[in-house]
Amino acid sequence: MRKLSDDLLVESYFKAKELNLSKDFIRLIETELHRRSLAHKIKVSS
Amino acid sequence: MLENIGHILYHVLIVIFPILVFYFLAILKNIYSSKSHRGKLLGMVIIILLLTMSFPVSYANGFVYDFRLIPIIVAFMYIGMVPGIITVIIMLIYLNFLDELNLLVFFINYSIITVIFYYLRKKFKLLSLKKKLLSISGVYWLITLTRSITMIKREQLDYILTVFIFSLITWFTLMLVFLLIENLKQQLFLQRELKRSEKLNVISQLAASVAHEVRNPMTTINGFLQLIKRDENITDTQRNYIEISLGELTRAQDIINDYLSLARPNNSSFQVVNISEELTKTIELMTSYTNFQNIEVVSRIEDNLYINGNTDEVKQVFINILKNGIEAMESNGILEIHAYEANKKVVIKIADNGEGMTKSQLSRIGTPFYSTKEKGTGIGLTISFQIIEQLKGKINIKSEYGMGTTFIIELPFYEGK
Repeated sequence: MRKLSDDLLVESYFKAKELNLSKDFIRLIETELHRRSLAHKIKVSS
Repeated sequence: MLENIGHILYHVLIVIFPILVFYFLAILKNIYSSKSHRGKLLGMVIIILLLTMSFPVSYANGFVYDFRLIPIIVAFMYIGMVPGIITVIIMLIYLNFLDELNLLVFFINYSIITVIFYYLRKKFKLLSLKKKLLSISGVYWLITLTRSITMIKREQLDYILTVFIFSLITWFTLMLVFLLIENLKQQLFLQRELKRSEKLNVISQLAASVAHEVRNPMTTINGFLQLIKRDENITDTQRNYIEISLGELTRAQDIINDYLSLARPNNSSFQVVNISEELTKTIELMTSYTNFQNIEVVSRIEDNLYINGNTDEVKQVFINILKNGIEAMESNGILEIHAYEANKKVVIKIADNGEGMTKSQLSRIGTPFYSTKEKGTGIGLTISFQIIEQLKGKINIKSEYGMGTTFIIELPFYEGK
C-alpha cells in the first residue's frame, strides 16, 4: 500500500467503506493512513 | 565335561560380545541408518564366524562343535541374501583351510540351508517379534535335527546328550542375539521418530506465524480487486478475469484460515454442550443448502444429549461432515441423521446415499490436503478428526463405492450438574 499516492489511498478508503468491503481490508487502509498521518482526512461526518 | 562347558561359554561370549559392542556403537553414532551399516555388520559377523570356528569344542574323537550357525543365520536374516551366501562361502573356505575332509557334505547341507533362508527372508520382516523368534527357532532346530540324524546314522549315539546340551545353549544364544538386534532396531526407530516429531513441532509453530503474515497481503489484494470490480470502465473479459482472481484468492484465504485453526493449540475452554440442540441447529442451518440440491433430510435426534466440549468446534465438525455428505450426493439423495445415547456415549450417525468411497479412498480419508472434491481445502476432515480426538471421542467411517457413506461419531456423555 505504500505505493499509493495519498489521494488515492483516501479515495480507496471511502470507496471500500461505501462498498462495505472486508473489515480487515478497511483496517489495513486505516493503519496506512495513520502511519502517513492522514487520519484527519477521513474524519468526515456522514 | 566341565571343561567343555567352560569352552562352550567362551563361544557364547565371542558371539554376544561383538554384537553388544556393535549395538552400543550403533546407538551412540546412529550407524544403522548409514548406508555402510550392512558392510560393518557383515564384517562383524565374519569375525564372529572365524573366531567360533577357530576354537571349536571337541567332544569325541575328532568331532567338533562350534557356533557357526549363529553368524550365518544373522547374515541371512539381517544383512541380506548375498552377504549370507558370502558368509557360507567364507565358512567353506575356512573349513578347507582347517583340513576338513567332508567339504562336499557341508556344501550340500549349507546349500539346502541357503534355500530355506531364501524363502524365510521374504516373510521375515513382516512378522512380529514373537513370530520372528519362533520361525528362527523352528529353522534352527530343524537344522540341528538333521545333524543328529547324521550322528544316529553314524552310530555316535553316546554323544547325543552332549550335542543336545550344546545345541540348547546355542539356541539360547541365538535367541539372545536376535533380541539384541531387534531391540537395537527399535531404539533407532524411536530415536528417528522423536527427531521427526520435534521437527514437525517446530515447523508447525513456524507455519502458523507464516500463515498469519500471509493474511495481510491477501486481504489487500482482495480489497483492491473488489475496488477494480466496481469500476464501470472495464471490459467483460477483464471483469471475468477479476472474478476468477477473487475466487482463487478466497480459496487461498480459506486454506489459510483452516490451516491456522489446525495449527492453533487448543486453549479454548470446555463447557457443557447440548448436542441435541446444536445438531438440530446445524441441520437447520444447512437446510437452504439441502433444499437447493433437492436432498431429503431425515433426522432422529434424542433430547438431552450432553457432552463436555467447545460449542463452536462441535458445530464445525457437524457442518463439515454434513456438507461432505450433501456434496457426495448429486441430487435426490437422502441424508439421514441419527443421534442417541448408548453405553454412556453420545452416538451421532450421519449417513448419505451418495457416491461412497473405494477402500483405497477410505484409507486416505482425513489426510491433510486429501480430497475427492475439486473445490475445498482438503483439511476440513483433518480438523474434524483432531477436534473429536481432543473431545476424547471416536469416529468411524463406513463406506461402499456407489452406495454411500456413514460417519459414526462417539463422544463421552457428560453426566455433570
